[in-house]
Amino acid sequence: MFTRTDDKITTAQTVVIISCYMLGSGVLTLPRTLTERVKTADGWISLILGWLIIMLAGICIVKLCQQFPGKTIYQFVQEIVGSWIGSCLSMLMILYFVAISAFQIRVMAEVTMLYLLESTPIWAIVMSFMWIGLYLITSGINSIARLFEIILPITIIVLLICMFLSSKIFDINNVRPVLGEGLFPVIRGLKTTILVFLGYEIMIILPAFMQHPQKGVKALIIGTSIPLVLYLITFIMVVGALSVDGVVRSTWPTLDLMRSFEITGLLFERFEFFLLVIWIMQIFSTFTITFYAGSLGLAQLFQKNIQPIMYGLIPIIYIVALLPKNMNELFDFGDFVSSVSIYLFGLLPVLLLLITKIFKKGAVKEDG
Amino acid sequence: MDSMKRYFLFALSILFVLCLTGCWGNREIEDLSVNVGLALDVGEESELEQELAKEGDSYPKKNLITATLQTVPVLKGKSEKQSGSSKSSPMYLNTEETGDSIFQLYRQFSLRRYRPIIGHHLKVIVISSELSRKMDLNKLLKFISRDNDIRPSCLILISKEKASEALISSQSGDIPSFHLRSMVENQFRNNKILAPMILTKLDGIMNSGSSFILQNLVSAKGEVEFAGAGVIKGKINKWIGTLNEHEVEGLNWIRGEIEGGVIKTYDKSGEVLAYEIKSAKTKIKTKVQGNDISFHVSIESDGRLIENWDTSQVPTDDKFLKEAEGYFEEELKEMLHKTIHKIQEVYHVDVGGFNNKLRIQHPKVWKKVKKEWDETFSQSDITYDVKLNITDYGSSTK
Repeated sequence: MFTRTDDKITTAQTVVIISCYMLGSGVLTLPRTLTERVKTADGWISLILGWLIIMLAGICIVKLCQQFPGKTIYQFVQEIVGSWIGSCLSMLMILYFVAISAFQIRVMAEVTMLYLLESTPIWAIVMSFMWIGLYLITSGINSIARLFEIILPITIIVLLICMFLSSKIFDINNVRPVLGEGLFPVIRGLKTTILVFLGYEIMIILPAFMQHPQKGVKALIIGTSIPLVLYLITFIMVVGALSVDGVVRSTWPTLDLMRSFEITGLLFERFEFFLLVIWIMQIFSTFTITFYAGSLGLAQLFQKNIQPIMYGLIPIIYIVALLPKNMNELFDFGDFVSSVSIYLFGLLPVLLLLITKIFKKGAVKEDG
Repeated sequence: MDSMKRYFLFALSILFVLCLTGCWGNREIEDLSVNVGLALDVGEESELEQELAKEGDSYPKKNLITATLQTVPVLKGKSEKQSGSSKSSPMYLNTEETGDSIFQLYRQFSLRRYRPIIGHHLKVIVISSELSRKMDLNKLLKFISRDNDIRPSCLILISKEKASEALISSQSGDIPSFHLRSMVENQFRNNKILAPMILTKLDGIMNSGSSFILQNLVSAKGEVEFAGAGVIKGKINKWIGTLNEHEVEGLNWIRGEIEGGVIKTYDKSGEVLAYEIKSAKTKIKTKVQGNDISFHVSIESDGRLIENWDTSQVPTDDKFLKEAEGYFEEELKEMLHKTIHKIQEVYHVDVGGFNNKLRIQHPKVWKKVKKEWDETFSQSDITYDVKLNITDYGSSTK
């Protein structure tokens, strides 16, 4: 394979980056967080609806970026709303990305300490993770994309195998009836599902790196459908096995599903470790891409070299990651950051797009 | 390259090898006590514990629970190994601890045995009916479901007598916990065994507040047998009584969990007739009329005439087969009648899975009645029809 020098990514790579970003800590808690709100087994309908909403928001972002070919949002937001507000918005987005990467790394550390490395100090887990992440992102978006291309197929295969094996304790009655209490519970679940689909917002920087930015929408649709399918399968299998009342009692329901059965005579008896391993890889991918998005933002905002910024962000992410004192604070922190994103990447792009269209800013006709 | 620099790098990389010491936190598996079974009884200090307490083993506690922790492997002396079967010693070690917090009981273990206990392989939890009559199961199992080592795949059983007796085996070489775990798999041979209740499922059921049944154990002379089921009333999560084997069989038919087994009855001259179940299917239809909720259970099964003691009758005769089917259907109906009577009139609990049927078929009605479901259920009408087909008579025609 030849090495690219221009640091561009193909459409397929864009798809992979979006999928890997979306598949983060959500898989482990999704069945619980969703069922807590929906209170029936209809959460999977909320998932599909949430995905549709996310798609709309994502398409807005892509359309916005297509007005400014070759530029990331950090570079063109000032053209739209002026340098002061623009810088503030960029700064907010950077903070958001830093917070998300810190959150992901902390969740990873918590679960690793609970199930895998009980007496390993948290700093050891977090730091080794961060340094490897740093090593990856210093080589730019292309290396990130190529690593994700390796991770994603493994994730899909292992997750599907794990879910398939759990069919032993699956009981279809637990996911019935469909829409037994009408549409209202489904609507209640929408907020949660929108939050698990966070990740589409990476499109604020990706079109600038794409070889064919005009295929942005296509990449977005495929990139978000992969997590949708995986989430749907996970949700149905977990609720089917644990039942609605059981799911809400479990901190990490997807892991509990894996811990609820053993398969004898298949070389391995327990499958939660496979799930944990691929899931750590997925958290790693979410962590690196948000880390990269954050440092890229800072570099472009202050027009400085990106490498020192990456090194500089390490201690900041570390401190933010260790700020929540316990699990409740951690989950609250995650909820807070995610709800910020609804405004930052749901409403803001629509506004920006409107301003661009009305005042005819940017290169209206892009040449592909 | 500058040779000094190379030497320096070489020395540095050797130095880094020291950091790769690997598993410094390792524990040899032979040096661990693997906890395979747990029995929970009403708190009563054993003689040994009382003596230890006299010697000064005491800490602030209420003697509510006696936990028997079964661990493997057992340390064996060399002489014992060589003497072979002349003096058989058990393969497991049962340690009794009395107190309240189950987690603390687990940790007390380390004061008596030097090999640290690990919970990854906990297979069964046996709870005595006496204890579950007094204490909420939710409280008893809280630690188990929260612990990160113990897997939620472990099995929950009820014991009529002392639970610790269920973890004793007279057969040498047998580990009672493994024994119990495997016995549940015999469902395809006998329809008096309930579908395994693992912690995951139990957690969901307890949270939903519905009543349920757990496989009951009886034990005598070191032998443990599955016998009937313990009925746990929802909301309070306490034991209220037992169902006998016959009723469990009936319940399995109602719940559609028959995987195999037998129906035995007597013909008019009192001779034995037996039917081997090949397949069984249960359908429950719910009907809601105003405030009245009624259920109709229809059962269909295919099977084989496997035993008839009245040799004057030959199964090649269609008339005899029809007659035999009639006897079996009569027997099954009788069984269903007794079972339904017991759960509706005696215990007033729905343990037959009717709540799920109503929830799925009439979700709006279910939402209204689920608070007081056990009471509503006791008043609802249950009708049933049974269709058994004898499809063959095995390898003997006469």
